[in-house]
Amino acid sequence: MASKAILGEEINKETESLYKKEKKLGEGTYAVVYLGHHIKTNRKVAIKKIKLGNMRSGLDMSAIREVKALRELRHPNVIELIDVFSHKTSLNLVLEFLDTDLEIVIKDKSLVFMPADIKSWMMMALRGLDHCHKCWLLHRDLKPNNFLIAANGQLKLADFGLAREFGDVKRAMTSQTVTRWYRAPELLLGATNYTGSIDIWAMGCIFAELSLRAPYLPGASDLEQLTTIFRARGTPSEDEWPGMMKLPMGYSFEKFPKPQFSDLFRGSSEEAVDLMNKMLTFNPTNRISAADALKHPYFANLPRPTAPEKLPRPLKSLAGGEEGEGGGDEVVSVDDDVVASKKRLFQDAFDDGLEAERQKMGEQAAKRMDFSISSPA
Amino acid sequence: MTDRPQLFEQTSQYQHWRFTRESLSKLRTENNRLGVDRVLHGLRQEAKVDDQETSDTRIAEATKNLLTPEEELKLIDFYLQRIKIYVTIYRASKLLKPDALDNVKATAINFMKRFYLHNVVFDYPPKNIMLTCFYLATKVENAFMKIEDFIRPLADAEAKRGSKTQTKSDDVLGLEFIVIQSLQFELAVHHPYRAIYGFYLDMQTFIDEKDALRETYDRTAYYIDKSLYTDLVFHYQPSQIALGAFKLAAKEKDLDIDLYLTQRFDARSLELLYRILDEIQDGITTFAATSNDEAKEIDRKLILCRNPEKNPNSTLYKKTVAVQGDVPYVSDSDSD
Amino acid sequence: MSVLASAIKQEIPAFQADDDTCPQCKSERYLNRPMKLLVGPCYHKMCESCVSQRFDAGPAPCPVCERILRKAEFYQQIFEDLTVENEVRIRKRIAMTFNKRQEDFKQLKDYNDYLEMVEDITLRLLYDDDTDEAEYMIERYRRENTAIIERNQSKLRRDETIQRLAFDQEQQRKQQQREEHLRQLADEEREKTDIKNSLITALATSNMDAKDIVKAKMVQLKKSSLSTRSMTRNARFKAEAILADEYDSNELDEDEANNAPFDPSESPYEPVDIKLLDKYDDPKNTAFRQGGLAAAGVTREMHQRYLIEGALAGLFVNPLDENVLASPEAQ
Repeated sequence: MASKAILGEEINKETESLYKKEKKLGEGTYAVVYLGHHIKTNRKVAIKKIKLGNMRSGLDMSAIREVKALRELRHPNVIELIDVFSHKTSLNLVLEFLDTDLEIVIKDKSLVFMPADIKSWMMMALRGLDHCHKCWLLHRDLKPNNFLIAANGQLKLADFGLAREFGDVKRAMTSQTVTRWYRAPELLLGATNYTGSIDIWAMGCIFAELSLRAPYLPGASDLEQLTTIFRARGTPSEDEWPGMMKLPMGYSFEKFPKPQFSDLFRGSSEEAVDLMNKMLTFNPTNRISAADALKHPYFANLPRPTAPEKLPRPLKSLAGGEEGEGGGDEVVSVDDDVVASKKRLFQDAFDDGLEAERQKMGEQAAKRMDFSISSPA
Repeated sequence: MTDRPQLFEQTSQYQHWRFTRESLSKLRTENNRLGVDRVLHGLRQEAKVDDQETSDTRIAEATKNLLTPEEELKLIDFYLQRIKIYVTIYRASKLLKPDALDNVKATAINFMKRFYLHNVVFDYPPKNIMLTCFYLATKVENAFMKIEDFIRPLADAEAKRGSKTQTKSDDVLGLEFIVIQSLQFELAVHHPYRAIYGFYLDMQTFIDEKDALRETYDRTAYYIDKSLYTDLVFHYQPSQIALGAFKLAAKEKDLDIDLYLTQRFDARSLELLYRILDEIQDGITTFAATSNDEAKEIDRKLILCRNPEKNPNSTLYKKTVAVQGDVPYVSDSDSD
Repeated sequence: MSVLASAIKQEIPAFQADDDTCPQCKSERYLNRPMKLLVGPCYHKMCESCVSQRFDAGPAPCPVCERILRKAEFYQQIFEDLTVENEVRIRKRIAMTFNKRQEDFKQLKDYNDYLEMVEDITLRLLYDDDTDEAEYMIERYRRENTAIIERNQSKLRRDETIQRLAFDQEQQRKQQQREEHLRQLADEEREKTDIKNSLITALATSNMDAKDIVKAKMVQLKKSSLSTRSMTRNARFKAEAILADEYDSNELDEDEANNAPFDPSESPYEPVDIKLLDKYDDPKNTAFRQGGLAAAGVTREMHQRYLIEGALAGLFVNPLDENVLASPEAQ
């Protein structure tokens, strides 16, 4: 035991020496992500190096939030933060390596989703989210590209740069959180204290998006987002959402009728639409919780959710489809080969535009691993 | 009962920051011993780059004044107490909202206590570490303020006192990585505040004297504050410390909370709990803060036994470390 | 498999007695051999044509007890004794709901207790003893065990499918064996004729001793029929193996996956199981006085749960190392 390091600096150095960086996967404004591996076990990891060059007040809030949250969460459907070390003045998060994300999967139009596939993703996402909420932690930025997908198909909640605790009603929180299309109506109305139901609203939007294969509530601006929501879901009455007008930005809105949801979600079962409606309920108090959503008949009834390893997955992965031992260039060429062979297979089904889009998506995915966010709250 | 863990068992506080009394004191002794070795080594290194004769007397002086683990702890405690004063400064200047105060204070104290399990005062004197822990705690507890705002009240106070030294933002930020790595990047800390409020609510079902209960609850703040400076946090759960504080306050206000405990929990678990609560109450009541005089004396000794390798004012530091260009917060261009 | 189901599957003929008489038209079996006597749910009998006459137009009362019956409810009697018939049907009904298997219990004792309970309910129904209570127990059990009942029903269906398939395979195998045997007989017959013919030719054309020629041909005959037999046996084993493989990897797998225990809420952690006691008086909290919080989903209940969970988390956790706790002076 005497040889065990005591000093913070020594422990940090020991941690750093456990990992080897290989190649850059992507770069955002906030961080650079590298592919790497654990030297002893050869386990593949992603090393997210947070740049602090421009941070005048030291470590910024999103880095603090992410490290703070992920150090406390251990769950099969939450990305694993394996280690953290600092190097000079960069903060390095060693994360489990994940191939792709849900946005890439949704946008890959060559993939066909069966109802059981959607159920499987929703179940894994809700399990991860339920765990966060049970720990009294809000994610506050749920959207398809923050759900990463492992090689074995497991869906994992990632990007905790906006995460914070909830439950204490006296502490004010910002309503400027969550990417616009997935932002709950109470946030749009300026609520300064809220609960897990804001994450559930986002999950409801993702549920719809998995069925539609397109964003469900794509508001053009923050101002228009509410109108987009009301147009799609009907303007809520005071009965439906008591106290709505008492929220900071509550006022009289244009009245839109409630449309027939089953028309839009024709491919979805009645139970699926029912659960989706419960997740997209206006009154946050009545909105279903993650725990209750998992108890909804949608999950218990057949078809059973697809086993994760059998879920559809895109051709391209973040680090390249094959095991890339050599340099980055080599991996890219392997990738191209795979794409080319697939292209030959479906020569007519693909046009160049689609191919270009797929390439772009690969790049975006690399950036996603840095989970960059617009601005710290 | 079952093999699945409880949720609280996954917290870093439960997993990595609990010790037995023995292991805690062993760790501190070992830490101090290695720290002393580094001081002497550093001074010998300095002798190589500095005037030989002055170095010899410096080494002799340092050896006489080396701090024991107990003296280290006393000095740390003194600066822990200062956090309380700083909290009031930020509160007065409205930089910290009243509802954030307790958590920022408790987290800052906890960070500093954890920091010195992995560092010694010879390398990093507590004065600056205290400020860095404090600033980090404001971020962790969602009470972020810009570094300029954080520095201003300190500078004002220093100016008022006519102090020669002036705290600069680099004094705080320069240590941020040192602090966060010593905390092993584990930032979530659980305090007795949430638990004590929970107990206050939960007791209402069993205790009819509502006013006495409320007075007792108000009094618990005093005992919880005291508990923060002790090592109790390294041995017990926040809920246990909260209940221990509640018992102390209840004794003072002559309120019988056993009425609650015996009805709410079964006898066998209470047997264990009472033993734990007794120890916590002992820990809180026997705690004595380091006096000003004591602290001054230890601080004076520390000036003589600092590790020159880590002291920016030392000849060794200026001639070696500084030359390597290890200046914090410069964007590192290499992407190794 | 229930007695009745297997009875039907194995095509046990319906019970008939020579002195059967239709209580309605008084038609007698003695005079009307093909008469089908049916039994209603009230255990009163009627011949098939009377049932048609009476119930083709829709539900009508039983001529004996006036209970309203439908045509579809009539079935052919299998057992001579109607009380046995009744018992079989009650047991069948009970078995549909109380279909737990031994594997559903951790201990044999629990399984035995369960069987005893089921028997108790069955007996009540059989002897008309407090049937309301029994029906209530059945209904409550059904509601509490919906998932497991469904799961075991599909397990039962699967078992029956397997049995049926095994039965079919067995039949098929026997049929094949029969055909194979016939074919072999024919082959052997043909071979014999061939050899006989060649023997005649040999005898006619060869200079060898007739005795030796016959001996040689007989050896040839034995060998060839032996080889055909063993060859066909090998082929049959192979076919069966393939059949079994195919069966395993398809139907069964999917069925297995759909029936395996499955909990959407599965978590690696113990659930937090805290019941809030009552409405708590929370005078210190002014936050709820404005209406804004509730509209954002922040309720007192949620806040109080957060606090009480904090109070109870780890309350009974022992500090590390018992020894230090027991004797503080030891340090």
